[in-house]
Amino acid sequence: MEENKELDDFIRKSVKELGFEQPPSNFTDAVLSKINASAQQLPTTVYQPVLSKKAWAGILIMVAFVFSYLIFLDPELEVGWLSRLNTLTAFDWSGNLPDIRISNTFVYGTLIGAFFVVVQVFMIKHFFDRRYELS
Amino acid sequence: MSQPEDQYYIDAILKNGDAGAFEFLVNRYKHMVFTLAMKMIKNTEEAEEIAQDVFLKAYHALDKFKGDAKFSTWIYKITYFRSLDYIKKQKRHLHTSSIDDEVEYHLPSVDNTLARLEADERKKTIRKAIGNLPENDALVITLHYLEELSLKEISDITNLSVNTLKVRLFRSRKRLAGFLTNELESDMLENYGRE
Repeated sequence: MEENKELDDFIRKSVKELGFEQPPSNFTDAVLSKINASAQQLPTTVYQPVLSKKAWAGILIMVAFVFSYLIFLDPELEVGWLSRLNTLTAFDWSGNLPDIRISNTFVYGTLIGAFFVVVQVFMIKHFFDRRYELS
Repeated sequence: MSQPEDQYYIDAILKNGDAGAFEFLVNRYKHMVFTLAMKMIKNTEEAEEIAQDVFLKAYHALDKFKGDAKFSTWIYKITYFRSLDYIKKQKRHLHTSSIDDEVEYHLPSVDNTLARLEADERKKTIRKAIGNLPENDALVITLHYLEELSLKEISDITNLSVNTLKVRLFRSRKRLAGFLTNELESDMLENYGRE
């Protein structure tokens, strides 16, 4: 304990003697001129959206109008594709797909391989985090 | 609580956009900010650049400063993290030496030898020894012994726990004493050769 106190005093004395590092004499001016420069640039960095909110509202109204006109008001338009949709679900895929047989071993192997790739992503991230970590 | 004087100038900047009031704050804190950056970055030009950046950043983020902490704590925090960012971006460890915690040193003789040196020579030796410390250790030593902050305050700046800091400070003290011993010994050898 006694030794610690001595060491503490000694380090305090040494660090105090060294004192502050002196920044260059023009330091304050440099900071202030940087602040002025950034203040002048400020307006140019205000971003304007390409489409204003009004424009978006206009587009939405137009799209809604076109669709509602076509669906509800246009008597000529047959919305036939709606009724044809069920051909997709009713379609029998089985006869048209190539017949590929995959062994269970291959499936398990691929799954385990994929699992290890996922684990590695975290391990590599951890590795690099530690590598650049500061002492 | 922020010191009343600091708060007065901060209010002046926020309310009246008085950039001149910021000059006072820069002058008050530039030495410590620059010293901290120097201890971590260990290069005068780059530390100056970083210290300037810190004040620039502080100026623009001043409205986010809440008066519940000291302004000094806040600006040291910006300095600490800005320096860390810089070091990380460099993707290299600064040339610090590693030294075992159990380094040999005999305090009275280190103290004696240091005391016998000329003031300039002594400062040079201490500066070199601190320069050998890893960036975080140098920062903790500087904040604790030069700025005389408590471990709690250093913890607020670095986001490291008080216990971590206690261990780090303990280790840094021993390291620094070891480095001083090394510096003094190598100086003595050099001088011996010359005379």
